[in-house]
Amino acid sequence: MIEIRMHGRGGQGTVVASKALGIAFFLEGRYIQSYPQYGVERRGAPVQAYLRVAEPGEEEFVRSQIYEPDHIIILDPTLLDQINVLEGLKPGGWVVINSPEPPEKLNIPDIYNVATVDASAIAIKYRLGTKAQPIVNTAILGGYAGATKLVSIENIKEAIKQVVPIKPEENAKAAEEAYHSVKIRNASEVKV
Amino acid sequence: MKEKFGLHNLPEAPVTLETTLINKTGSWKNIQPVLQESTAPCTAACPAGIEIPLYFDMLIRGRFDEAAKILHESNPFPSITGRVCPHFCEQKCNRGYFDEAIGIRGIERYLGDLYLDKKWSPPDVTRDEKVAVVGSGPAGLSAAHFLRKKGYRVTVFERDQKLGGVLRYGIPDYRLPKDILDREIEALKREGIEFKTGVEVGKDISFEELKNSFDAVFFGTGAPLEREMRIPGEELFIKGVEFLKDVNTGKIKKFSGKVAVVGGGNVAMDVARSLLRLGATPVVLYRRTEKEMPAIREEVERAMEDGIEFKFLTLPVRAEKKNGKIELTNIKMKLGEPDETGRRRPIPIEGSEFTEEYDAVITAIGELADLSIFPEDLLNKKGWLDVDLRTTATKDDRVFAGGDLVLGPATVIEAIALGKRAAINIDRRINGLELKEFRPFEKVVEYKKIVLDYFMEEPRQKQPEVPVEERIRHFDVEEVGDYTPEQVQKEALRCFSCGHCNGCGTCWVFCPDMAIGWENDQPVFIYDYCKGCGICSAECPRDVIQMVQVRTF
Amino acid sequence: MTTAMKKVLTGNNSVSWGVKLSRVQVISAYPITPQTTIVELLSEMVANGELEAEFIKVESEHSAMSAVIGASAAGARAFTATSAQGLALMHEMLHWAAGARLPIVLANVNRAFGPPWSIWTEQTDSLAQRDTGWIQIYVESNQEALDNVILAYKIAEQVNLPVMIVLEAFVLSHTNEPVEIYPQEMVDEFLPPRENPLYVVEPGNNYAVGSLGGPDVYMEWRYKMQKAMERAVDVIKTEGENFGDHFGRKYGLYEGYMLDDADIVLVSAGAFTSTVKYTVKHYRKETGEKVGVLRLRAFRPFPHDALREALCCRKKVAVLDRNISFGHHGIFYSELKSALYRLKDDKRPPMFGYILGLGGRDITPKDIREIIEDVKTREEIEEDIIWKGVKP
Repeated sequence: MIEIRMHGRGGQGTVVASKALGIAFFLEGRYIQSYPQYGVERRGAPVQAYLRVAEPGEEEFVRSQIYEPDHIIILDPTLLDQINVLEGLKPGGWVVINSPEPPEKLNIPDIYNVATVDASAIAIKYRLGTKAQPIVNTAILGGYAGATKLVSIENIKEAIKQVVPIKPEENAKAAEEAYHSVKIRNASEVKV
Repeated sequence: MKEKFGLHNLPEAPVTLETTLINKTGSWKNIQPVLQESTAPCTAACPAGIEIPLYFDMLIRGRFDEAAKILHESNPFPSITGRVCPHFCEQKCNRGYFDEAIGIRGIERYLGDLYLDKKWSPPDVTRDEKVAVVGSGPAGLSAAHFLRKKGYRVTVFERDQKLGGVLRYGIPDYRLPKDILDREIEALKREGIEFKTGVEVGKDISFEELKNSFDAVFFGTGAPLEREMRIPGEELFIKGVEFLKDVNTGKIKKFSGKVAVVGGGNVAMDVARSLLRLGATPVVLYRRTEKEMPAIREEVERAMEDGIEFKFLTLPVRAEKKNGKIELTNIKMKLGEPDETGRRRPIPIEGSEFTEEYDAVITAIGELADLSIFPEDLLNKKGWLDVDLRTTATKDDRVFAGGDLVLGPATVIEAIALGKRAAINIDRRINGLELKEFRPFEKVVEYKKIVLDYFMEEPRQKQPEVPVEERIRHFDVEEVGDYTPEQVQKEALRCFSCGHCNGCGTCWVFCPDMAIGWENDQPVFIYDYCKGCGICSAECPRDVIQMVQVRTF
Repeated sequence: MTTAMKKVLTGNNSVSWGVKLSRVQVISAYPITPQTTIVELLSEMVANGELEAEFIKVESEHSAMSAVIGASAAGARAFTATSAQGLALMHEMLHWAAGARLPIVLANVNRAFGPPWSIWTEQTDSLAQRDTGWIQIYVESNQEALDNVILAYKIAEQVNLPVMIVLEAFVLSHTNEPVEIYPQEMVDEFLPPRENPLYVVEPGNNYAVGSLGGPDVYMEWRYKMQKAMERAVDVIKTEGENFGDHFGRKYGLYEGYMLDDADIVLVSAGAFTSTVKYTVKHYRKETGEKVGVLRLRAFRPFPHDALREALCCRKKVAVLDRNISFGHHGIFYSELKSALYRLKDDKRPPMFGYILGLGGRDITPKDIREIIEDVKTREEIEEDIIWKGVKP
């Protein structure tokens, strides 16, 4: 089972991203469960969404929240300074983050795999959202697929087209560009 | 013996075993509701008594033919009144107390224009009698139309070359385009009315001759004479009605210089506004104040918007010709006690004379009927035509009269109303029946009878208007435009439908005994079950359901 | 015949799809979190013509229930949905719907009552409607939510009682899972248009519904309601099996999980049972201890006989209540106790009532594991409420 936690801000499309990634895995034949942080969302406030992906052939899940995720996806890099986004992340897990910087520049412990993708720039390029508030939720998924290779970019694109309310082609292209432009720093050997 | 109930004979669900209709619970009451329509204030205010809520109802339901028929039943020329009527209806509209009065005139104009060229097939000639109508202004045309509808042969005599009277020669194009008038008249021609233009009664044909050739005669010859000021130098002045006629026939196409317009009535406003559009600079001189002006309020406002100068409490007392100009001496006035019209009487202020120079002076201080054609015995002691306004009958059994001829300068809709009144009574006279006396409506729905809970505030729809700076540059561009069909629907839906059941169903919803049925879009009271509680009457938004006593104990 | 398709849906939208597939004719509802998205999707389906139904907008839940009562009395298949405060406002009309014997289906998304205001899950709202005469079915997954809307109409229209489908706030209502959506023809075969209503209110039928029932008849009609509830036990069982034959997913009065040989049985209802099952499965694997799960589905009618049979002679029973009846105990716990009372002393297992997860407090595998360990230490009932997770 893979457990993924996504961090974003109210209005960024974090919940939609978790559903899209869930559908992408579902298209791979995996059973999934995705859900938002339960509560009352406010625009601009930190929000989380969750995704569980079952092992192939399994269809069972717990329904408690995710406390020790395998992967973390961060839509807004400024959250790094505000909350402990890495909380509970398992050693060897992935941190996929929207940032123009190379992974090495981010101060993330080397027990984690780190992937960066400039999702904001890509979103602006494809006119997703506004320059002030680009909608990065689809580009970041391309980055996730490119880094982890756990799900194909074709299924990511198909899932995006199913869930985004507007500009399906542009969103899919943004994911594709992110897929190819993601930068990776692998974790050093993890000693347990 | 009463059967015992138990598991064996009770149905599965708690429903009654037999109809409850056997209990005629309504037999125990002493009052009960009746559907009783009464007159809406708009209808009551309209001289022609147009059933406005009724045709609005049809309009809202998309039954345009029926709507148009109801409208034409009282007013054959809605395209004309839809433009020039001072809309007495809107002034009394109950909605006016709530937010804004309904744009009745705009809707009338829309519906009128919709049917302008497709009015109904000509009525058959079913009578041998012939009726003559003298004058083709609104009163004459209305009388002719309604007489023709009753099956008579009708001949209209008009001394001018063209038909329409004041509609053609008095009202300027920017208020009433000639094309609209022509199309209204075309419709009358299609009805089979015979028109004889260029024939003046009293000159080309005598009163007696006319009377002897027809079974009845209606006179609607208007008030074409301008009242005289009776001051020195009056011969230098132009008469308002004549000026308007020259403008409307195209004889005058341009006018320049500073022009005094004397008077505060509709002719004065038409003259002043026409002058402006022809290139002159009019100044209105009126001996009382703005408040007392007899002109249609709307026209006064438009004249002021146009930028026309008004000098109130000012009365010319003499005029002289000097250096090709007119030197006009005026006296300032003050207001005294109210006179017989209820307006405060103007009193000259001694020693307040002042002199002004004008290029021309046009008088419009009141118009008079030309009574020279009538024999003495039809006139009263004051020398006016003796007419019973309730019937339009004169002292001569075969002579009827209406319009400005009997009212003095009034409105198109009043003329239309009297024309119809005359048609009804000419018909009755020919049939040997007693004449019908028209009286004001008695049961008019008051504002307090409207149940306001059912209405929401909504602004009145506005007709498009040509901007002031644009409109004053043209004489023949109509300054007010049409409602769109969507606006008409919206505006008609604002109508409270005072006193007219429009099938809203509120009574049906509220009846606690389900004692209201529904037939032909109207409630039907099922008195066997109505307990006379009166909720239907209390909740009716438009005062259509009245409670009446059916039994006394 | 077109084949079924799988879609990733939230619990709420699974309910909406169940309603659509049941060809519901009248929907009336008032929005309330966390229910709103059920009727939001339905209103879209009605607006774009996918579902031929009347959607009646109302100003309160009381009116929503009144509207569907009217629709159902007129012979239509009717649906509404609500949560917590909304359900409480419907309370009067819930009695009415059942008393008038109308096969209405209502989806209640469990939400805790205020104050303090809460939008999070708790089962007290639906359980508090215990005596209204409604059948209540608690579901665990999105698929079960969709399936049980269809099943609910099948049951309701046979016994002429309304059915409440209950799902948990967020844990199910806003959680996405793959859900199988059956072809319409397949549902139509299982659930034909509403047949043989007890009565139809329509012009020309001159009788009254809900008129005064005096002391001479009232009791008989209550007797008939109770008999219908008793009949519903069999109908739920039979139709749950028929559903399995038709669609491939079988539903019972309850669901057993690793139950057959279990010495210790954890009893719970609703979505958090997934976490209970998962923990039990791993616990068994690790310790070999015979722990099992009984998930309650039907709460009304309460399947006494079936539960007695299922729990007879077990070593221990722990009931996990995400609800509370103040002044008494966990509601499922007390209901189950009364059901097992008729067992002979030597066959009646000791029962332990745990209250946990109120107001949306997360229920984790760790919590369940601790409960199992706790049950193991207990022999006799010493207290009727064992609080789990109250912070000191």
